[in-house]
Amino acid sequence: MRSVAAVSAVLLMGAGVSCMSVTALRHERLELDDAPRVIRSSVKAHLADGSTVLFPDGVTIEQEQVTGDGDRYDIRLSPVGSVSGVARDSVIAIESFDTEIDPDRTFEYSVLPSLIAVAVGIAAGLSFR
Amino acid sequence: MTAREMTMSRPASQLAFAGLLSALMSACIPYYGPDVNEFAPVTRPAGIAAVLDLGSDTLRAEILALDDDALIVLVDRTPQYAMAGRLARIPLTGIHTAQFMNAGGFDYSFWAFTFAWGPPDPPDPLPLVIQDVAADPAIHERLRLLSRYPQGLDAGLLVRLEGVYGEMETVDLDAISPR
Repeated sequence: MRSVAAVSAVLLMGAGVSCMSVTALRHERLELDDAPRVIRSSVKAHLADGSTVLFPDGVTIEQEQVTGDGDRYDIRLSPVGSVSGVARDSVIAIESFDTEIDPDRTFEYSVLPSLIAVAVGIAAGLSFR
Repeated sequence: MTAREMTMSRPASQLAFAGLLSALMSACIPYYGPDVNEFAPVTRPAGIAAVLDLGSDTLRAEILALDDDALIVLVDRTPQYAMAGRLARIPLTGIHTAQFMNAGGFDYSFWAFTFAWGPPDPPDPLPLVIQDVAADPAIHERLRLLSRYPQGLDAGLLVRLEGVYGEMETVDLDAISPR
């Protein structure tokens, strides 16, 4: 009975691990072209006056305005308050932070733990015989 | 199996089940990876911190920008540094060893992941330790992106920074001991 439980746990774990994805950070500088777009991940905008605005929930970039709930810091890095957007022409650089699936690590972290779990499960099953 | 053998194997079995359960709980997450909302370059407006060994001097500084041949930094306001609180331009060839915080990827420890008791913690960011900063363009690009001003410093921005932190000092390579 216990060996059945062990095998069940192994199968359950195998199913769980095989559904799991390993992610990596994607940090990139965005081109400030004319195309409007919506960024749904964390964004850092650099303004011409040396201040920086952090938009943790992303932004909508339009022709005249970059909108989003952000926190602005001046050139001394002192917080100067919340903003709901900044003028597009005041932004000289913008970068985004997000995660993306890492296929190699996803494979590595799915197969090896499954093999370990199978080995442990078999060992446990045998020892309870 | 005799009763004696069963008794001897029981601790091993319990250990095996504990390992199995631990691994099972690690699997109970849909994603495993860095937590963007806890990553300092995302949550703070500053550039990454660095410890720079210049041979005759070691200083800790924030990376403001990266030129083709130099780091532009804001030296920490620690009195032990000669340029404390100042802007400095440090030629890449003058840096013997550098440690850049949060620039070395993440610690995807396989064992910590597999044998975490419960859902594993997100991998921690790692520092990048490098001896020849001048040599690798790929690292330059990474450092540029993690600096406070990835777009670089134009004349106007430099004037504003100098207005706040004082005139930028260029580290004299001749005053630095050779590599």
